[in-house]
Amino acid sequence: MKMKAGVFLVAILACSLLGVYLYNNAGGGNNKILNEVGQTFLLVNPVFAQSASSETTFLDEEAGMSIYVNIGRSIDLAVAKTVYRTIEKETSNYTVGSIALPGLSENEDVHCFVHKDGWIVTYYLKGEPISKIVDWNLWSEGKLTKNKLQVGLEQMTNALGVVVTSVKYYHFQYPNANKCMLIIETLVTVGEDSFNITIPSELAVYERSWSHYAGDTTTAWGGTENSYFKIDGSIINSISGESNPVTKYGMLTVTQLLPDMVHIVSVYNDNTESSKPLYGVCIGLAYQEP
Amino acid sequence: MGGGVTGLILFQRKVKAQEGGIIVEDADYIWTNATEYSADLINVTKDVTPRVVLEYGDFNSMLDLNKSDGLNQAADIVSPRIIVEYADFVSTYGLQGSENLTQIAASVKPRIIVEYADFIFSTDLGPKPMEDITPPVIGIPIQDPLPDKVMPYQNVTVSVNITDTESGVKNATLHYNINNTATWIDVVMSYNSTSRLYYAMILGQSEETYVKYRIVAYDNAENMAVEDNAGQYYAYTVIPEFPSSLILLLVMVLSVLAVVLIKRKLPRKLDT
Repeated sequence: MKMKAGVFLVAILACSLLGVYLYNNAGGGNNKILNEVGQTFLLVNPVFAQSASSETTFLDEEAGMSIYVNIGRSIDLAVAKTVYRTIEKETSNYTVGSIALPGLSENEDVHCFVHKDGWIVTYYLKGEPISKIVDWNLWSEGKLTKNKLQVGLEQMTNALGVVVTSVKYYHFQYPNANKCMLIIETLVTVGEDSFNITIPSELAVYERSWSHYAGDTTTAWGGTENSYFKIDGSIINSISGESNPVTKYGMLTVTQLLPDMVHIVSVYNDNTESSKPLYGVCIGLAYQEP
Repeated sequence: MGGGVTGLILFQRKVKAQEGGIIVEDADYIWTNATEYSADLINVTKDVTPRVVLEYGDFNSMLDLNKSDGLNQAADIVSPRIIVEYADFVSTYGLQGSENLTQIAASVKPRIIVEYADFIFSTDLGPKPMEDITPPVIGIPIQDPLPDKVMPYQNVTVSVNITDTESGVKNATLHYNINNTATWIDVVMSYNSTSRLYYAMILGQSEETYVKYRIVAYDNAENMAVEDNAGQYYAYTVIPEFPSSLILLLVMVLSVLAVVLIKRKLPRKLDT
């Protein structure tokens, strides 16, 4: 009987070994790697670096319409600071300041963020209209040669000794907007000139804004003349009795520029003087193109 | 401005618009100081298929009409021409010379139409500055069991190291294909914070099945990375159920059983 029992135990042992071998090779031990590392699957999001760094958080809170570039090399922040009219913020990584624009008052200054890693972001503040970037002094031969953000960026890159060939625009207030458009109508004769605009309802429009410029709204003998910015015949803004060039800007409501309708945007002046200054109107749009 | 007909814009349209018709622009009698725009003659309808209107350009190309981002044109001077919109059919017979200006587009993206403006500045917005533009880095996948040791219906675990130093890895997916069929099966990979590896399991397949796979990962800035073994994919074929090593084991077991049987017989002989 002892012999029988011994042989039986040997047979069981052999079968068990075979069973274990087959089990492991047949996928029953498919958590082999996990068993080896002594862990279980954790179905949680991986730990990753935060994309919202303090730098972009600052701009998210501060900036609106922006132009930016990465110059591809590190920036000496001390040099960048020499460009600012006013230094607004300084950290070990970046500086922020305002840049004065030629021929424009301080409230037209652009803001500039410079990061030591090569980033330069020139912007207007959140809430300011896109149309503010139009510098009517730079209207020449039927086109806007540059805008204020470009001029501010150029001042910074010139100081840093770099030539920028490719820039991008971004609106921090409207992260879903992927297009921006500025449409300009000008007039140097007495009367009215206009353009038509139709905005399809398929587009999500985040901002409708305007800029109205009048080079001179006085007569030689001190009288008052007028310049109007109109949409569909309704006066949106008027500039009167200003002997110096004046630029006004603001936001439009949706009802002032409804989608799926042709709107007539016009600029008017009643200047009968022989010297005809420039009058102009600009519509600025930020929207999402599908 | 001369009144000659030098161009034609033709549109295909499913439904005829209520106010469809001919727009005549820039005729001499319209261009007065008082009314440079021809409000009376401009079609206004809400029921318009979005279409490309190309006006005042010095040159019109018919290429890439569906990618018409840059078609906004502004100019004071417009060549006199007839614009036909919303018509079901337009014959160009008798309108010789206008081929270059004929535009036909069945569908275009919705876009802002601006007419008669002196200047238009249009630009893309984005991406966000300082945003990550570098895709994740995917290491070489490790397969368990090894490609030449996958048994029938044995699940296969694939582990891989994926990193993204900027915005971080958002997700990773293993795509696998069975026997080169058109269907790819997606398996979302799970992250193990201790091993710092991503894991996915390919379900067990029958003998001789050919399985190939690749790994696709995205970071939080939506940059995509693909690891597909340089286009060759990672692959294995499920081997037969009883390879030589198993046969050897079976022989051993059978030998043990034979010994058991012999031992059972021997005591009986001794008893007699």
